[in-house]
Amino acid sequence: MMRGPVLPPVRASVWAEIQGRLGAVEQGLVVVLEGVDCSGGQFGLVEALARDAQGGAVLVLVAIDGDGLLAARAHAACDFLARIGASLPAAVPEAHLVAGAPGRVLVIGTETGAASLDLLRCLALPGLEICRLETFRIGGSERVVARWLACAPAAAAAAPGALPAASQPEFEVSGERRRDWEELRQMCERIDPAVRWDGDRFSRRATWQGRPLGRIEMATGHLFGVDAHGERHALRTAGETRRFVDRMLRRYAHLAGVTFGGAEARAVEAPRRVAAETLSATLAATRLSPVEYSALGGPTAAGGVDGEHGNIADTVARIVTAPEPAWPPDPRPAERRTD
Amino acid sequence: MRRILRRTGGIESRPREAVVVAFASGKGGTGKSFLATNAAIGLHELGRRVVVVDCDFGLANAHLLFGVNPRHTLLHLLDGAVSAAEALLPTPYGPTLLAGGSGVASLAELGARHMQALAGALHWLAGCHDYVLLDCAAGLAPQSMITVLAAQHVVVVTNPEIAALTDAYALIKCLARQPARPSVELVVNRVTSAGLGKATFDRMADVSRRFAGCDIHYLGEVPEDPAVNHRRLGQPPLLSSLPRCPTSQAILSILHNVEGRVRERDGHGTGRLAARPGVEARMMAQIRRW
Repeated sequence: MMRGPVLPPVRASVWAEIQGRLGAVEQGLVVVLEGVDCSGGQFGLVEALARDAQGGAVLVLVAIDGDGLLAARAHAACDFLARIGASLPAAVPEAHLVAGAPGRVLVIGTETGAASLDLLRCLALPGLEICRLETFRIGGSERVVARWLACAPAAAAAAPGALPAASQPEFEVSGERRRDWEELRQMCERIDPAVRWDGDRFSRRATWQGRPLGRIEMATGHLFGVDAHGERHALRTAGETRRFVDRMLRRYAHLAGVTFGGAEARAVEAPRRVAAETLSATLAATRLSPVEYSALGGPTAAGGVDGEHGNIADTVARIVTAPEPAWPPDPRPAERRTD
Repeated sequence: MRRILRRTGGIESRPREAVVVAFASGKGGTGKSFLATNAAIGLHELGRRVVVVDCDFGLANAHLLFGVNPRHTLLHLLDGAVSAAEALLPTPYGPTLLAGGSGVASLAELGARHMQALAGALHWLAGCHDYVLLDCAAGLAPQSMITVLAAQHVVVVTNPEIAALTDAYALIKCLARQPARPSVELVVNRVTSAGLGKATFDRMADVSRRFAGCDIHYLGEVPEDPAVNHRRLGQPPLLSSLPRCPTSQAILSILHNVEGRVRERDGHGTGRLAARPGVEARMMAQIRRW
């Protein structure tokens, strides 16, 4: 049998392959524009600007082995997002990005880009997520799974022969806030031991399987939490800290698919229930959740992921923070949540 | 003989009951009445027998757009004062109109008895027309939803701004929860740049699929047109007076898509008439669930 020459894969062909499988990488990830120049033409174009389910900007890069400019391009993309990510919703209106939603850089590779992905893992650039698509055949058909790699720089460093991971500077928390920070970190570990922390001297970002749960910042002697929707919360009391962890927990529950009380799960359940519902009941159930409102293009809700996600998240919160009593109401009316 | 009759548009090709299309939106002022009246004229020019039923019980205005002064309205019909045939009003532009009333202070005044009367009237209208276009009231009151759910096709009219989008989505979400879901189609009105309507639809379709589990279909966009905004009372509808303007062309394109959806979903015009419940049965089912 005559066979043609086996050519090394080029980025365009790998991108074409990946583009059709973005749904396997992350539900709701949609390519809005292709070919983004983040480096002034120095390192080539980033494959695409995408929008995630929360309306955040995602710069998507494709990794293939032998691409010497991949790391530089990824670094330039992270830098680009850090510089002007907040202005992208206004600058690229056709992308329908949600103002305030955090941006990120996502590098996707297949079997042909394994070495490049490993290199990027060791670089541990902040804001960078790495995903490897692995295909396998079952029942005569090809299936694909996404494997997130960004959250294990320590494992990469521990592997024999691996490149050393980028060193992480210590989080500088003032003395009186150190206890809050430690408590917060322990609560996050109770959510899932796989929650990872990375960041610089003044901030720490929590990720789970490469996906952001939230960020803790130290500024003017106080701790602040930035949730997955980009909303900033002061963490001055134990109650505020626990409330912020609750937001991270809700985000975790959403990412982990523990959303049987959530809007998407309700959509699946709906046809089974509607026959028994009255017309008035169905009308009453049409209240929009903050997630839906945000996905339609509205500003991120002040209350974070509340409403329809509330029941399950509250249940999970009780399990995770079992030793704690019910949270006391905030004694300061001026700063009480309004959601 | 059957083939000849079908080709020449004879009795054989006519469906037993009209296609009922509801023009709805969550928010008021998105252009439902404007689209419904002009769509009716467009369908009439395509040779269809069309009736517009102004179901905006409290704030009806379709008769103003048609430039007619109704003697009897839907309210007389609901009260049993006149029959549907007596309330029906011909317009100078071809379609007939069942005008809405402006005397109802709130929808709460309309009870099941009134809605049953409307169901009977729609059944009669559907038997003697090809298209029944329902110009529905804004909002999600049960009475409005019963009229929306009387239709096989719900054309959700929205504008590319967040308030209209969220209200339109609330309507779609509500429709998605109904046991007998009509086909949901979207028109984006008052679009300021070409392609904005499709982009708006893409976002709405994405959100509807993900959160409401409902697939919606795109009918088209209608450009923002000062000629529409500045029309005065008594001027003829746009499709009659300016049939070649971009807005009229957009409406004709939407009509083309509506007919395509009707053929695709209901098999009208293909000789494949589905044995589905009629408009009266659909409404009565909703009234019983009320």
